[in-house]
Amino acid sequence: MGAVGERLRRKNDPRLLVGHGRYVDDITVPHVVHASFVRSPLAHAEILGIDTEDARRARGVVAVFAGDEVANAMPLLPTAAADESPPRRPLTGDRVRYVGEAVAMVLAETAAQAEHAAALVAVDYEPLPVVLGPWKALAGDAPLVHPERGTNKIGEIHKVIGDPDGAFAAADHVVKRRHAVQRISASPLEPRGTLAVPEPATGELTVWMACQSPHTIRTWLSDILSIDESKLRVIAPDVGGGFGSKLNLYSDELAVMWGALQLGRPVKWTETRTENFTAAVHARDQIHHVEMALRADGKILGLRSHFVGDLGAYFHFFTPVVPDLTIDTLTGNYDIPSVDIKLEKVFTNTMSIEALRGSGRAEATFVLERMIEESAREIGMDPLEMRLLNLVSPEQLPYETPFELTYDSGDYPAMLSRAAELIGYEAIKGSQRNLREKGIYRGVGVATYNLLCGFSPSGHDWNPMKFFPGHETALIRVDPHGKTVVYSGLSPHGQGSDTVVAQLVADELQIPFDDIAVKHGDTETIPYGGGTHGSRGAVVGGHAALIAAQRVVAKAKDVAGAMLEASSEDVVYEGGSFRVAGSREPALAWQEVAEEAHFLKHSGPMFEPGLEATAFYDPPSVNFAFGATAAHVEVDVETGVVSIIEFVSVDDCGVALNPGIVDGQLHGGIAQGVGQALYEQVSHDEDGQVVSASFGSYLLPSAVEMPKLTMERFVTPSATPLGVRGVGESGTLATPAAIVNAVVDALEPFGVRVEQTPLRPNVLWELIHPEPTE
Amino acid sequence: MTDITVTVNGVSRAVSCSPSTLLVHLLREELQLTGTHVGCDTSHCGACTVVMDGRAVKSCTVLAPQAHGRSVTTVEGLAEDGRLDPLQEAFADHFALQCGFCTSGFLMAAKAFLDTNPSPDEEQVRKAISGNLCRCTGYQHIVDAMLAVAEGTT
Amino acid sequence: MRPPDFEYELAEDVQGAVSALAQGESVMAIAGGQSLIPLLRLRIARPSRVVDIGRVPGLTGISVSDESTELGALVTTADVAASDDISRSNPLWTEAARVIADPLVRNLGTVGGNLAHADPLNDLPAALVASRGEVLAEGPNGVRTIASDDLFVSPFTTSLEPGELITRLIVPGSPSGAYEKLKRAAADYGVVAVAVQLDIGDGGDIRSAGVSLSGTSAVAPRSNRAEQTLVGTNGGDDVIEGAALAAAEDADLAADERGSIRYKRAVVGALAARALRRAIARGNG
Repeated sequence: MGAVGERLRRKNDPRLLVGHGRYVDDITVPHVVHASFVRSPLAHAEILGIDTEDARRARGVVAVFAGDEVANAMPLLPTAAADESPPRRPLTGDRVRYVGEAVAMVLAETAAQAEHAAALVAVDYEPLPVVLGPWKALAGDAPLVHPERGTNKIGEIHKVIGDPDGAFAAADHVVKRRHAVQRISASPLEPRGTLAVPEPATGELTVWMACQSPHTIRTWLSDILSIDESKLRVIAPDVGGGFGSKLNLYSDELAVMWGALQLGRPVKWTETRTENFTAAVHARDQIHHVEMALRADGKILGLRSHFVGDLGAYFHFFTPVVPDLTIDTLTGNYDIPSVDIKLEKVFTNTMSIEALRGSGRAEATFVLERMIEESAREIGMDPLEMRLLNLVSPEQLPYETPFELTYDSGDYPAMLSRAAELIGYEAIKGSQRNLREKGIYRGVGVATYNLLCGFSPSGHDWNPMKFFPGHETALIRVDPHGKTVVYSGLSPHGQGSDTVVAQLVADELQIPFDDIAVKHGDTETIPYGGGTHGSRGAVVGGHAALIAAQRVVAKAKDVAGAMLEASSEDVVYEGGSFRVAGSREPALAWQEVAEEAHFLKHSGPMFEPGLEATAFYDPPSVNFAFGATAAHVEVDVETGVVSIIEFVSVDDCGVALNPGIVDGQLHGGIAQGVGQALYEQVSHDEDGQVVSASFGSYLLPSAVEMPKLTMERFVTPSATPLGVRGVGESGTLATPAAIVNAVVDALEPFGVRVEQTPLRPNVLWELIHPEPTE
Repeated sequence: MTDITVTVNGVSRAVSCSPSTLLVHLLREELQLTGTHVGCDTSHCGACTVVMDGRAVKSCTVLAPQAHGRSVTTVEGLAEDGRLDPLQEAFADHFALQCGFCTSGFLMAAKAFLDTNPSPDEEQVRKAISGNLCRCTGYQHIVDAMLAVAEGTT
Repeated sequence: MRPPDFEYELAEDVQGAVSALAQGESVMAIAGGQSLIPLLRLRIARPSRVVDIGRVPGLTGISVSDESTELGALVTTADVAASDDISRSNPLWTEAARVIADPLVRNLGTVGGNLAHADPLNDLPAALVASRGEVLAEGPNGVRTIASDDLFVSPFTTSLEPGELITRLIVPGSPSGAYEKLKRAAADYGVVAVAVQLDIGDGGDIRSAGVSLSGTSAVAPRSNRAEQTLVGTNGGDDVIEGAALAAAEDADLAADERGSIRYKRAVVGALAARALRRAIARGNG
């Protein structure tokens, strides 16, 4: 029996379950000093002066770094699209541009001392006019985030494909709506953390960091710190979730490393949750003005969107390309021949927008699925029926989208029909009238998704970074006992990629799953890899491991051939043993071959000793995973509270290497989608203060907000050797639209027009009970 | 500084610390029990949950002197003699953890709850863990694991 | 985030606590700590000295009769939430206790602390006012009884004198009680809540009524007009609607990110009607 496809326990669980995980904050080294940051309480201000005297005199303080001179001695941070990006250093000495920007770094003997001393730093600010809100930022008289640029506008992309003007001219109906996708926070349960350990004698620097891509960090550090990569070691130990927010090299993290080099002492910093809400990247934050052209029968002829992306004050690694991804996925699973999409991107006095689970594509899916819902309602058509009419059908596959993405296989209409069936679409619709008479407002909503994933072939358009690999790696090393270690370039932090890699390698090597260990997240031992993000673990990292395993088997056949005095081409390996094809000679076990490969006791020097292989795999294309979701909700019209009665997700991620892990990935994505639909929001007040800087106001869904999830899987193997598709981001895509569509359905008698999320109770109540107009 | 004696995982531990020290930092930094985590500043996330005198509490919201003379069980004390607690087994079987950062807190909240409510329904289970946040699992597998322990099917 | 340093004193008994707390304005009491410790971590509270009253003997115990429930100030909100006796005789208190924060916070948070903190979003102040309870306070000048209407002065301020601490709560019992709270999610502190406790005669007539709110600008204001609307009636639908409307109209509310004044007022009305219906059904059941 193979390991692939089995619900095998995860490799990491034995440690994590007994509290033996090692996250950055759990790690300590001798002579370490602790960092604490002083951050801007204002969204936009000039720094007139910084008084660090009290902090310097505080108990345990080793150093305080602040001010223009210090900041200018620090290296520039790496950012996306460096030529467009305002240059930025780890501390700002002259001006702050968002709440949470680091102004000073205090180093002390204990974390408590550092924190207490940081509170003693006094910064004199001259407030400047604040620019918030993307459309306001584009106005001619808007205050400028970066005056030297002369404008807050970052750029404009306008894609016109097919014949949108003709489509709109020929349309029987044109539906226009506004859709805003709010700003959200990744909120991994582990805040960020960095421990930098210099070795002054050799110039070496070792960095433990809660990150998703240690090799990328190492290469950037080499560039900006002028240290050879051979002297840099970046380790991602256990990492408590990232969801895209730990892909970056942040200003505070670099400040910690720089401080360690200045002092010649280890420096450790653990982010607080309060900091995480302001100083770790945000996501989404787009406003679309959409028009949909429809034929009388509901066929979609064309789609226009003029949208704006609020990117915040600075670029991080992927900031400017996140909304670009929205453009390229805005037609989703639907056959929409003509599109006219215009995107404007702007700077505002807020934290940067960045990649977050489903980035760009979640916004696109939401806008499209909300637009179809609104269109169907406006022309008096059942929204499910309109979707089925417009979905790309299996007969149309392979299908090239207007944006030149090729969908290879799958059955989107069947999945949507199945989701509708599982939720009881018709029964819910049929019971609505009676329930409404009793004051009970229930509704059903559906949405589909097609996740562009498996990032991705090197050099593709969505990679704006000089140093960010598209490939993935694996080194498989078999020891003389036949036990095997996979050194994977992935950097999983909860996804379970290590476990699924072990499963597929176990099958390829025909050895027990338990005989395989998977190591990752350490640039000292791992071949150069891309890390974990963009639903790429199985799709990219899995194939690197598969190819490496195939190479190991080929090598093992060479060894077995030598032992069996046969040509390696004549050696067959099956059932975990090697024999000569057609021969009745006794077979060789894996372990015998592994031992011989190292000690050459029986076969002489007929092969290069050792049993290991490395593979670097650059995927030939991106990958797609797809599905349909359905939500059944009830709205308390007196309070605006939405309860999810049931949620159905029908997903196709191709071959599920470990169904338990796949389900968990989907569940987590769905929960983030529920949060986006109903609860989560990074809120700023009119001065740019983040008023949602705690879990008490940001509102992650808890176990009582989440419904029981009904899952069903379709399996359409992808064209890749493993047949896998991505899955990590899938749940985030269609979930918000399905829920909002269900809310709109429940409130049909009120005719509410939902233009923004989250549908917190007060927001929804105001829609149900609009203020009487004069 | 104040002198504190607290029984942690069955062993009496004497520590001298500032009275402003939080129990979670006493556990993590003085006793090197780093399985208990800090995930927020406002007593919301529950990553720091331990069992104190039989009740699940947030160790970030207990001053070290408040724990003086009390008995605290952390995630490191859940397994006995190397044998995992049925909850730990169930968490593994049901994929109830992903990144693992919140896991200790969920385990301890679940342990104290199931010790006093051995046959809960799903709604009670969800309420029992409503003081713990998880960003990875959507809670489904955690609820599954707890119900499996309650039903003795793990 | 970590609390700044402070001096710590463990109170051995009530007298010790009283004299320790009377030492100055920057001395703060800690019982369960579930409100104070987050404030210490965020540096919102900066006491020079913290007096731990959590181990003072004699401040625990739940004693329930048909007439009243007596709670030691150090009884945890979890204990109130779990008590079958309280559920029978004071369902308002059971319901209020069960929506405080989360189950883990309730395991340490105390009833005395929940009142003394006087947070307008706390739940037990409204329960105390609605049930017309009183607290025993002990201070430098001895023991006194403070009626619920006299306890809460303004947000985070009570009528407790320096050195005075709540030792005991005495809450008149009634099966006709209910608590309704709107939280946006489990981690939310709450938007608004309504506490209701009625005394209903054998004929279904409402002999006395208590209605109070959480989440308003004041701490646990009594809705006098709502109470007057109820008393002397048998609590029919019109009465309930009228009382709920009165509670909503009289509520002093502020707009914030939880909602507009208009929204909060509507929710107060809706929750008041629900709480009243449940309380009346209980009284007549």
